[in-house]
Amino acid sequence: MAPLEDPDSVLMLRVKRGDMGAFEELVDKYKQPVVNLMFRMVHDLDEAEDLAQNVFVRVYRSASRYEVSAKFSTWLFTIARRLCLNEIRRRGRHPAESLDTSGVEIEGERQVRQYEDVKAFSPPEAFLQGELEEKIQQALAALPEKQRLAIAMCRQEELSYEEIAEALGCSVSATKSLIHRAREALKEKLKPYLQSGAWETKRNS
Amino acid sequence: MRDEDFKKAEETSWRRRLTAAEKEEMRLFLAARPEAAEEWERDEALNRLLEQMPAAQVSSNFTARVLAAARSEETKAVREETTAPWFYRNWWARLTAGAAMVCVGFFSFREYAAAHRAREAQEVVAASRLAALPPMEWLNDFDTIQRLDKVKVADDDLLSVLE
Repeated sequence: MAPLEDPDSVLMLRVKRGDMGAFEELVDKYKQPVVNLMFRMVHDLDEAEDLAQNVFVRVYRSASRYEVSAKFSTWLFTIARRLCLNEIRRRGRHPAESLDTSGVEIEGERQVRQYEDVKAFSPPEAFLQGELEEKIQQALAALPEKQRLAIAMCRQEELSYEEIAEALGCSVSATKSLIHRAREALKEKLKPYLQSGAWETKRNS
Repeated sequence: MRDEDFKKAEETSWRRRLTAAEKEEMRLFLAARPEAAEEWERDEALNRLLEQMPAAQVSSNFTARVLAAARSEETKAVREETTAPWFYRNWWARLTAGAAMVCVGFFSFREYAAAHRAREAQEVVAASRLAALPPMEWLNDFDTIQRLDKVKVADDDLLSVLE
């Protein structure tokens, strides 16, 4: 799809003209995939949401300079990739600190989570046994950050391989190589679960 | 299905489930290439495992928080725009201020260099007075005087010559 035919790019051009409704539409459409991506990378839902919020705020801040040179989703996930890697590297340098950007600053006063969450959060273990999910998370966490990002983005159906490559800042063949290596590593680490298929039996029982 | 088609199907399966038609093509390919079947099964098993990873549960107030943060950014930007001194808002004013600072810097340096040269010249003049050569008569006995420090005992003959 050519960038100018991309409906999300059209929405973003409306945001550039000050249309807050268009921005809200974009946030609603992409909050799940962006939070998913961040969650796969940082393994903490609160931090994933904070990072995702920063991504969208960055998008809004850049609206005045927005030019349609690629699909909106590619641009969005490029910003997400940069913020995510910055945060992971920052944590690597300062492991004791945690990200706390959930405050909303209004008129100089800091109000934390002004809007109440009306829906209770149910743990992601809903679908899988806790042990299996833990193993998968550990296996993902053990991957080098770029492989982890590549495989997380690969699961986003909105993105083609070309778009993933652009968001990662590398070639399509390098992207596929990253994903292939990540998958080989995961297959090795999760071998007992792949072979036995026991988790499928338990899930279906 | 050729090898490159198999590879393409494999890469497609990493992103989404194969369609019924794609699965049938794969089945026929693997029937002809049983050595690839085991690896394909492991690949598919991993795909099914990753598919089961649940999506993160996004808070119901997420969009509202993002919009509030965005509006807050806008308010902050407008505040900075209206309270910033006028010369921060106009490019020509900033350019003029920058050029003025460069000129002031240049002329200050020139003044400093001139003062430094004048100071150096004065120091050379003062040093040249101190370093004035001794009268020629003093040099007549120069060799004799130089040998004096090598004399361990009083040299009466030398002393009488000097008298």
